[in-house]
Amino acid sequence: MSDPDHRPATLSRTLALLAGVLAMLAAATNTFAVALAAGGFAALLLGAFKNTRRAVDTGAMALGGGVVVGAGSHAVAAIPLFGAVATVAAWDLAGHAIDVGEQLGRGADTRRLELVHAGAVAAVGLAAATAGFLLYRIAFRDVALSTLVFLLFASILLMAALRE
Amino acid sequence: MSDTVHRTERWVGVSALAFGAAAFGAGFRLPAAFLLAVVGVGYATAARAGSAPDVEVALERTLDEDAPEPGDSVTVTLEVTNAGERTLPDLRVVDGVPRTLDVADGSPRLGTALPPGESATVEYDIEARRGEHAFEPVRIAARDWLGTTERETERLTHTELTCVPELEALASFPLRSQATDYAGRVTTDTAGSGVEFHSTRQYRRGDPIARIDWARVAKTGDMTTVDFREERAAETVVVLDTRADAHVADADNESAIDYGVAAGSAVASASLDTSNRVGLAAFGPRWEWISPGLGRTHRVRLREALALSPAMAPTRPPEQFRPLVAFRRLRERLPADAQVVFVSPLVDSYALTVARRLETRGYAVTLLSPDVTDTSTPGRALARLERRRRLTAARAVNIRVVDWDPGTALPVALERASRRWRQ
Amino acid sequence: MAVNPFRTALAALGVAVLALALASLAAPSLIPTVSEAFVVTGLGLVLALFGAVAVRRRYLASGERTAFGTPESRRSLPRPGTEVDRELAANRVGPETRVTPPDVALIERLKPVAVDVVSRALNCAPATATEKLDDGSWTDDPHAAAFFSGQRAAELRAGQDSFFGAVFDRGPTRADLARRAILELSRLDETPAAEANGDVSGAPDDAERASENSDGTPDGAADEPGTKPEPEASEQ
Repeated sequence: MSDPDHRPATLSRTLALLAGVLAMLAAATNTFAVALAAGGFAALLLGAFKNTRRAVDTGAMALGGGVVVGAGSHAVAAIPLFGAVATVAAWDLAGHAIDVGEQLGRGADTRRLELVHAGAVAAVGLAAATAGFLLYRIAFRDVALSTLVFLLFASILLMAALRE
Repeated sequence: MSDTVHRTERWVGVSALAFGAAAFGAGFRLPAAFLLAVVGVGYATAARAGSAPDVEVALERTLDEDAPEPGDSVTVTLEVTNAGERTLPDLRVVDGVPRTLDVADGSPRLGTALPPGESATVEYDIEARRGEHAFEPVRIAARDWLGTTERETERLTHTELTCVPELEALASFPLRSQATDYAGRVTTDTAGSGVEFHSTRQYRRGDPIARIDWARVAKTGDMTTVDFREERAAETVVVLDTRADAHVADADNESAIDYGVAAGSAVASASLDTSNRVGLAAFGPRWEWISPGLGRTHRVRLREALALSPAMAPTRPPEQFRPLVAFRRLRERLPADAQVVFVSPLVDSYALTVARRLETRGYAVTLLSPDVTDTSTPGRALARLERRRRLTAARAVNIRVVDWDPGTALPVALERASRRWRQ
Repeated sequence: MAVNPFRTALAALGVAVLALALASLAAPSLIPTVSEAFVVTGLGLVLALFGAVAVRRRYLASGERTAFGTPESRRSLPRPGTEVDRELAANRVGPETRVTPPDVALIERLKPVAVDVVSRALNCAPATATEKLDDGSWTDDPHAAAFFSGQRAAELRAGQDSFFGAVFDRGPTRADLARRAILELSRLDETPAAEANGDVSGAPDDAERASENSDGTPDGAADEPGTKPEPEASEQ
């Protein structure tokens, strides 16, 4: 039998690209944000089809950058939040597609694996986004400068401790 | 068994989102942007919390065919069950297809997620080949929910695919000392009953009436008996070259050993069909010997030895080979007037040496050589030229040579070779 | 995850400051105000720095995964003549004047085969064939001829005219010559003349004596007990 097909798994790849489109939409508030996001999406697309993790990483970073930049101009805080989740989901699912393709190949039955993984990523993102949204609703009315400073300081420390 | 835990590092860098959003939000006083950092922090925390799961699985493999013929498609079904108490959210399974077999259809790989107690199935087809093929360990990789760490492990199984082909039928195999057309019998130089004239002698009481030379009685009145050249059933031994040097393959990755066994089976079958006693020997690090015989039981013995004997295994023997010892052992067993069909790809010179030595010691040798050479690289082209030279050298000492290109059917190759012998 | 005390301390501190921050949201009057706005900007820059570090870690990270191999195909067996190809590839001897030991071995291996092929293809006696090989007249291919005739490879350089050709084209290696010789011999072997003369070749003993066992010992040894024990060790 000829060698198995080790190209990226189709289900995860499709979901990744879908998430990428959603992220792009979330970034569509100002020109720069959209341009950055679109460029990122293109790189992600390339990486997901050409089996290149580097392209996926770079693309996701640009996509995320676009979402962050666009966040400032949004009236509703929920959209950029879910845009951020969509970015991470796009990044992870593209990487997952490549991984599964390399280890198992297209000929193997991987539907369940991919669906469960996509679900897990979405669930974590949803939880985080909800937490963020609640924080926004509760706290972000009139923020004193010092509060912001402490928040920032705390976040630095926490995230430094949280290096994955 | 030893598990390996891999750090996939798939989530490394997600905190860049958190830091980037926080930095942007702080720098430009945009609380909304700052918020996005929460998403990054959430993912980073979740990724950190992951750890490689313990793999507790039960495996069951079934084959849908117990006794396949070579070329048959056998469906393999492997059932994987989560025997533990925790869900395996990312389970990757690759079945241990025997290294001597090909997958013909489907995939031996599977990706699934299993809650405790649930199962998933891997199903695929393999193509059966001669011999006994043991399945390799099943390889498993299990990850946590987000896929940050991966545990690599193996599970041993005890399944085998056994394939014992029928002896191939060949119309007939031309035996060397055959001077007559009588199938199954070989004329000798001993006086006795037969067809060809040998000598006459004085009549003795008890001589068969049929052999009295009546013409002479009529003429001279003397009673004489005609002796004919005695015919005896021929004894053939198929000697297969199974040394490591003979374990080479052609462009289709078909082993010379497999071709050799096929040819040997055909010779054995043809001999048995024409009532010639035939035996089997393996010339290599692993010994195999079946004395020449006849009959149904003998046929079964030969068939099973050709398929299952470790000497005929398609994998290179790791044992050391002692040429002198092997040759002596063979000579000790070979019946004095047996003819030898030596089956070898002839890709090294010692094979030729063996054939020649047997010939000089009085065994009538037929050299049956499957050709696994080609000219695709200079090295292979040289191997082909050297093999041809060896064939020529064999012919020069009156060894009968069958140069068999496996692309053509063996009977055809035999026919071509026979024509040459009669010249 | 490695339990790093530094990290734990960092995390604890972070949690403490977070608590302060949340407290300040609830009761702004409790917390002293920060003087300058650019402290915030400064912190923003620090965060950006951390972000850059994270990005760098992403690019450096490769991660490991289980390698499953290819169970779909059965293992491949060696082809006859592989060791010759390996030798030819390893033999990067340049166009020197001296013929090195690997060359000698190669010539010794090829010569008898060449004599056989040439004598059959050109329908001549082995002695004549040997002569033709030595002087190169057995073939039109100059590289193939040079392998046996010992013509200096330097003389066979193609681009001798141009400056760059003289500098960069150092001529064929002995391995190149060997390859051409083998190919040419293969071609000759396939010609109708060679096929027709199939069984007529001299000195068939060469076919046996000139070649050696895989472990290098010549195996024309007599079949006597007590002669040198030649364990023909299997490869790999």
